[in-house]
Amino acid sequence: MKTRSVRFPGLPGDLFWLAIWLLGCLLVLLWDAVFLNKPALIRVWTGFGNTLSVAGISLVTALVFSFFLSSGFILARWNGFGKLAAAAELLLSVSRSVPQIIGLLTGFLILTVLVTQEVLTGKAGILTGFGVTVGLVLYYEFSDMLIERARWFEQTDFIAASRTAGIPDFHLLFIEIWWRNSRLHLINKLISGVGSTVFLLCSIDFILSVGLSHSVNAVNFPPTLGSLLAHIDSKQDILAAGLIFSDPSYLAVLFTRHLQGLSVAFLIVFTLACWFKAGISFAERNRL
Amino acid sequence: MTRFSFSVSVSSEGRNLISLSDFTLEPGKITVLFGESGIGKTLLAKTIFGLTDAARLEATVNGETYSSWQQSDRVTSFRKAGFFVLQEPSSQFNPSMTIHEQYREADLARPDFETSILNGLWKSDGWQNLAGLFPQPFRPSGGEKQRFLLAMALKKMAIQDDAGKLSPDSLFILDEPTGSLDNGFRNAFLELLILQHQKQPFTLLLITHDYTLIPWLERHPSGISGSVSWKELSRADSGEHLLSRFDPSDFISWQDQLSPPGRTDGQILAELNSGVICHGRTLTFSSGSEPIGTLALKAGTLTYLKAASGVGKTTVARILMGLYPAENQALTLCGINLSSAGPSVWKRLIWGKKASMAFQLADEALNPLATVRQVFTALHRPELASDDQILRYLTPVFLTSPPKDFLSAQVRFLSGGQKQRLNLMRSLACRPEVLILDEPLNGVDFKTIRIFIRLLSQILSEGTAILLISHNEDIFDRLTLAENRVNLTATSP
Repeated sequence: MKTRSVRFPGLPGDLFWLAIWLLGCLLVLLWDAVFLNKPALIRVWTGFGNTLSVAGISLVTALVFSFFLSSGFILARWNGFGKLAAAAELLLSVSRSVPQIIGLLTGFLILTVLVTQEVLTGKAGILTGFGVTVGLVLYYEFSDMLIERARWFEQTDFIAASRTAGIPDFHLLFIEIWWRNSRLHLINKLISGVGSTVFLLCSIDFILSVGLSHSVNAVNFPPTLGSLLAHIDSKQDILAAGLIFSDPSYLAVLFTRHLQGLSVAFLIVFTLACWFKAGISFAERNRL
Repeated sequence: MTRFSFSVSVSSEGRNLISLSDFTLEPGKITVLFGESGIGKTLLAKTIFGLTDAARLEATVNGETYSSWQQSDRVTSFRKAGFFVLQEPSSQFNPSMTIHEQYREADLARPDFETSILNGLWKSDGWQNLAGLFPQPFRPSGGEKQRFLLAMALKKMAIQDDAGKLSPDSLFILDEPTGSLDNGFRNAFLELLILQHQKQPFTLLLITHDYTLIPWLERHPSGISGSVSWKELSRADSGEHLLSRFDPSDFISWQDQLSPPGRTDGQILAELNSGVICHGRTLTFSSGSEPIGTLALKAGTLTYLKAASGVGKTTVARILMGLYPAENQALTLCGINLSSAGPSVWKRLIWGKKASMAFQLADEALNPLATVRQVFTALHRPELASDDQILRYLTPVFLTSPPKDFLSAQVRFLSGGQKQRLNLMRSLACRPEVLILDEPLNGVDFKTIRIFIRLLSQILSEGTAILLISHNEDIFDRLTLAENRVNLTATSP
């Protein structure tokens, strides 16, 4: 099969888009370092770092949670524990039926309460809380994939042949099915998960920044790209971009005077676009 | 250089899939092509007939690029005057048209001939209930679909013949045409084919793993053997494809000296009652014409389970291995009553300990992305932990110790015969008291068949009870005593 996703000799499409993303972010950082005032510069890039940290934590949470749930479900089914498997499937179905945004809002309400009551304190703690919340909303996408992979093999003789030959169930599921035959699917899911997480996080941060509580606000929540986008300065910066339609000469100063909002908006859209393209290219390259 | 001389090369991502500088079919003759599965027989035939996916593979035929070959007059004439029966019958049918509609479509749009051909292939008019169906994955059965496809090929021959267009220039390719047929239906098809070929010769390429065709055709009273050319496709250690003449007498003399190995007085190691119900069908056993109460597998004895395709031989094997739940079941294995045992009992006491099963399709049974080493280390057996131990263990089925780098080869890159050998050896690793072999000779070449039969004798001499399922009746009938041949029938309420 001809590989269609190679952009440069030796550089597959997925790596190409990740390289573009890194390069683009670096250029914005350099531009901001030159033209953006220092407090805003720190805010934007702290927000960017926080957003990526939350995305990482949420993916790890989703992965760990889905791993335990899926393996419990599959092993229960293989070993005749039908009621346990049915309970796991019910839990999955119920969580799948809750719209992500509702799940997130509920999670963030709980987080807000925890922060208000000072149960959750410190930047690391709050970011971890963000990440875990998003991860618990996203996990079923991973568990569905893991279960689907096992089901695919159940339709063939592979599982029956392996079990009757004496291969232990744990080895069969974890090594043979998930590690050897599904890790590319998993990586692909993780790549697309980065985009989903950033999108969800920005959406919820934007809503949250309107203010769910008097004592919890953008000041005591660590900044993220979503909350920065909702900030009045960023909104004004983005609105300023509209001026170039009535006064094209304004374009010359747009990227030096209104950098906070434009940088944040660019980083969100650029991150989503690059990771989306990387996911597509990875799937193409590995024929998933 | 004849009309049917081909130089074919097909590769994918730099990997050579088939490369033959001279593949020649004798015009007006039947060429039977053997070779283990995965060697490239189907790809070779499809490439010649213009059916290979040019977007996925890099191919050339007679020095022409593949797109140019596909548009050439030769390929057009092959399709117009001939027919290609694909190996997998389901893939050739259009699911949105009934079988009958497809049987009368395009070049086949003539109602004559069809009844006589279909009656001949069914040995009755049983096809009439199936002709109105839309083909689905499991209905009609694989064997029935295969017969409908063969009927299409025979109908095309008859139509061409009737129009005076059937000639040695007509090319028909039948890829594994009898793979899903038992011997009775296989022979019925061959009789019709021979009749047509003797009436008006045409060029036929018949791809098969069924070596038992050899004595059948060689000894056929029509004298068709004079029109048959036997060839075998193999791969040298260097990876190069080799096309050689296959000497039919090699197989015939080998088959004639087969005799039942093992003993008949061994202790019963497994028993399943007749009348067990699975998937709504009642499965009953008989020996000769006498019903028997149980299917009993004795130590050191080869028991041959026989039935037409689709009746449920593999279902019985799966019931015996605890893989299918069954009603009205009385099952004991190695003295353990397993009639109502759950998977945890099977796992703890039976699977990979007292009993194991080599499944029909090695491609499915083995992990294609695992290496040969990992196939055996996955068993977590101390006697198969090191490379040397695994190589020593594999020596009997490879005749010599395979090279060490063989252990690092991924299963997906092995030939069909190599996969089948690994499949068998994995099921033997636990030294089972009861072993089930489902179509062990599927997709293997004559060399591997001989290895397997020798190994079978050795396993039996060690006291293992073997249940065998195979459509290679001409081989296994000779390896079993009549009392150890069990017929299976299935009835639905």
